[in-house]
Amino acid sequence: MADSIYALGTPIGRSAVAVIRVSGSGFSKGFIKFLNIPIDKKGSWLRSLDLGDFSDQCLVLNFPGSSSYTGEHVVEIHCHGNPLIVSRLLAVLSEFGLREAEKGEFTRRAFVNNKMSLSDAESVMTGIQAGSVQELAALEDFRSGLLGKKLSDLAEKITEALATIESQLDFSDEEDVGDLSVDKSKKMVGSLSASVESLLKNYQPYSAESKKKTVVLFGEPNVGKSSLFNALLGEGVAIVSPTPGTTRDVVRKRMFVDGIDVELEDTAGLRSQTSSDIEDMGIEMAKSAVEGADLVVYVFDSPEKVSNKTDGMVVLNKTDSHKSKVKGVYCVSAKTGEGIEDLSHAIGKAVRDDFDSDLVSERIYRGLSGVVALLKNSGVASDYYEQTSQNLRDSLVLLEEINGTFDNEDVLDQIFNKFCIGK
Amino acid sequence: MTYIFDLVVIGGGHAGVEATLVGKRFGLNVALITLDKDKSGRMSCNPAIGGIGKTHLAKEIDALGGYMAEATDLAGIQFKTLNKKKGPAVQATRAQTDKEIYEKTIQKKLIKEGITVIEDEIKDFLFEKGQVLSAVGAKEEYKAKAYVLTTGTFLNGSILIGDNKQEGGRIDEDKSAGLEKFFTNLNITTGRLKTGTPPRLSSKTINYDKLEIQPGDEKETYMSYLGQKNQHPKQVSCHITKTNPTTHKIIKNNIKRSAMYSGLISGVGPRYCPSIEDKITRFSGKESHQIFVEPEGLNTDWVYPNGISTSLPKDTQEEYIRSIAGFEQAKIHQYGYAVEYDYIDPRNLDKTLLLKNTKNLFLAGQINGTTGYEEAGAQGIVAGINAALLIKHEDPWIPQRQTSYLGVLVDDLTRFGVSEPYRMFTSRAEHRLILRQDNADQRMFETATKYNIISEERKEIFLEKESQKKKIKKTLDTTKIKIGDKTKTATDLCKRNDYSEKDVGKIVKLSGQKFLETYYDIRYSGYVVKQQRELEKMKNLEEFELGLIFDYKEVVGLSGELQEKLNKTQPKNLHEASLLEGITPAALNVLTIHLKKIDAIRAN
Repeated sequence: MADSIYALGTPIGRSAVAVIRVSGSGFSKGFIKFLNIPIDKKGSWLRSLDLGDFSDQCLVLNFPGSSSYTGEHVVEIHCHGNPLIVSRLLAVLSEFGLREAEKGEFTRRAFVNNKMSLSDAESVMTGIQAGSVQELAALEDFRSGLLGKKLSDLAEKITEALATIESQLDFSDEEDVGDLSVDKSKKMVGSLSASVESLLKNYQPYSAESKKKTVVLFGEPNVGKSSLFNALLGEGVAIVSPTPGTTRDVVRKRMFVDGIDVELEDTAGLRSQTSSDIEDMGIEMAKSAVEGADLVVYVFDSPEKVSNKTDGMVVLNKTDSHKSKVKGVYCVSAKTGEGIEDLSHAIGKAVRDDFDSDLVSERIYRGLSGVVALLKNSGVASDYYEQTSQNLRDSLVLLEEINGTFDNEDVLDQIFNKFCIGK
Repeated sequence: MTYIFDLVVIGGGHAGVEATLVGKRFGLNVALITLDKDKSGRMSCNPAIGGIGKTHLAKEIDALGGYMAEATDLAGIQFKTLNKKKGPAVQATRAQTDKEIYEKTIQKKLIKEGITVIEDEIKDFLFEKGQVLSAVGAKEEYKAKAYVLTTGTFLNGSILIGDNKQEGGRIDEDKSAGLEKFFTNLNITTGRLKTGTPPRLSSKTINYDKLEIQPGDEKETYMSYLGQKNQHPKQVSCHITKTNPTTHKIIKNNIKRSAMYSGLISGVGPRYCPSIEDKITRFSGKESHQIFVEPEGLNTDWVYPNGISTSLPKDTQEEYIRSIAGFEQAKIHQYGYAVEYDYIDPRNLDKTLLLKNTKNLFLAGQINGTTGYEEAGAQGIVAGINAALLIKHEDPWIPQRQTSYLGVLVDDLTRFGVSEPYRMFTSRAEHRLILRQDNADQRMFETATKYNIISEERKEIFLEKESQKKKIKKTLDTTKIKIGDKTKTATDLCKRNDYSEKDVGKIVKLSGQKFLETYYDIRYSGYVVKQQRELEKMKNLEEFELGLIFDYKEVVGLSGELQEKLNKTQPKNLHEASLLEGITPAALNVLTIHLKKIDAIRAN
């Protein structure tokens, strides 16, 4: 019997509603009592769930039996999206003997229970792990078969080239099969390799780390970087104080800006006269953070100090106190929230990849890279077409592993259709 | 009267002869039963052995001690190396043979080896619980421990010329009757195939001045690894002529009278060997087709015009032949005809060519849907070896795709069946680069010595070659060359694309066949590693047993077609499943994961 697992289905952080999913085959009595719903009945109920010191008005959705996502008994609890409520609710579930799901466990269970095929499961997993909107779009590309279409077009082209090469090997004694010049074969293989390369260029492998964008807040002490940091995140992470030099470490926090995974970094303010060695170290760390950043946001607190930077974004903070605006500069107040939303969108826009590339899984990328390597090594004059043919075959096998099938007969079919073979 | 043997081979064609001879090399008491002794080893189609892919088979038969290549060396009147400008893996020795010398050489060999050759027609098998107890002939009954059946085109064969249809497997010869009932009773699926021959002409009536001459190779080449100097009979040239628009017009005007187009023929013909009617219809844009004018022998005026096989009526054949340059006065010795015959779907066989549901009946040759002497001989030797192993209570021998064309042939036939007469092409071999015509001796040596089916002479020739190649390899290993600031060995250079075999040869001052073989052994050594890996992977796959999957409909992610196929075949393990047509690496993945699922459920 599968044990009961739970997972937060919505992102961590403040939101209107948070969804917690539970899956298992047979729940504990305590949990059933806690939910206070007819446990065998499919439906939704509004319940005030007792979370100890307080309770929360939750929507409870019940999917008993096999038609659920995982094929097990699934319960969804929609509570208010306050991190405090969510964490308390999760703690309560643990007390009832449920455990937190491993990464992808819901999907794995769905697969094990025949609720989805392996490739579906794979694409859901990628979907869950997707780090950006672009990646989800690419995934859709793969699901909808757009990439599949491109790959099978490619396989078709390679098969065609293979048929041409094979006709030179198996049917060179046939009148109808003319000699293929090395130049022509080189050109043919070259154009194949170019089209795979362009595919590769447009389909980058998904790698969480490389897709995360680092945005660094930088500026003199006490311009309100930490306040801005907190305002952008919508929560209190960095310690804010009126004393300059409070932030000595680099404080990092992950946030999503318009679907892009962004790591926002708050740094120590720069000043020549520091109060301690620790602050010096903080400043050094700030400098290196700037070097590694995808985007530097320069923060100022008065219009007079604003200087234009070409290598980043300029923000004038504290509009609530100096009440002035500077053209071409993002004017915000971390305190009142004025302009924060615009700034957030602007950051998202600035870090978004400028090239129009889609993303695929590592597996597909590796396969395609292998094809490029094989093709680059083909069409050489000294191999008498033998190795070129082998490489084209091996390319098709690689493509087959990604998508579709390949058959020796396809090659022969093409030859017999193209040439009049037979003495 | 009832005769008793170890092995009975039925049919004296190219498959039957190799099966008989290898049975003898195993030390068995073998009988060959044939309709006509004097027609054993007959070349009923064109008088030639070898061709791209086919030579590879002939060489493997030879390396296992078979006789086809030796007979070719004794009967070959023109030798040519095909694909000379291509790499060594696809080069092939082709021999034009004297048809009469060839069959006489074979018949002499059978006598020399003390084979009991009996003229009779097998009508039925006495059969009990899968065991064939005896072969029932028109004259006598023959008991044996195992049987190899090679009926060629004689199973329900019919000969077609125009609207004339008569029973028979070869012109002027009866078909074998009665056996089709045996297969029907066994519930074996059969199909119908077609093949054709051109009209045979008299060389005395051909104007050779109008033909292009095509001489053989200047350098003497051999089909067999035992080939010796001055072994070949007198060497002659072939000739080339071609059809023209007039020829095509004559054929087009009469096409409805061709047995192929009048609906008389239901069998499927080979795409790589189309009739002239087919060529003209399918490639109507072509104004002419080449014809190779091949002599059938030194002491005969029969000529085989290769490229114009037909089933047109006789008068049309006369007319179109005479429209061809050089054939204006040609006399037709024998009209072209199509042969239609039954074949057994080779998916009814296991990889030893044993007929499933039987314990001791092997099938080889054209009966399995193949075409060609070499393909037939290859199956003959595989069936013969396995029949002998069965008789000796030893494990069967299954040639592998990774190491031989025999393996490719047997595997293709038994896994995929055929949709047209099956001919070998090098493109069918995934491991083509290392399956060369010059290294079949090396590839077959282990098997040949294990079963002790090759002569001492053959062993010595091979071992001598190997020791010479070893010396060459040592020279290549120890010759150092400075390229830029790096020192490389000549062996390193063999693998590089910017050094040809000639460049390396110059550096080490070596040339010749054995140097070339060594060079290519090194050059393609990466593929040997790959092949090894594949064999290992195959063994790994064998460890995943599928016995716990009772219904493949439960396996999510498999196509309905595959689910059905797997349910029908019930493979024992993943390796067997991987051999099924349509099974992709992705499908294997799905199966592996399903097995893990089963494990997980069982563990819980």
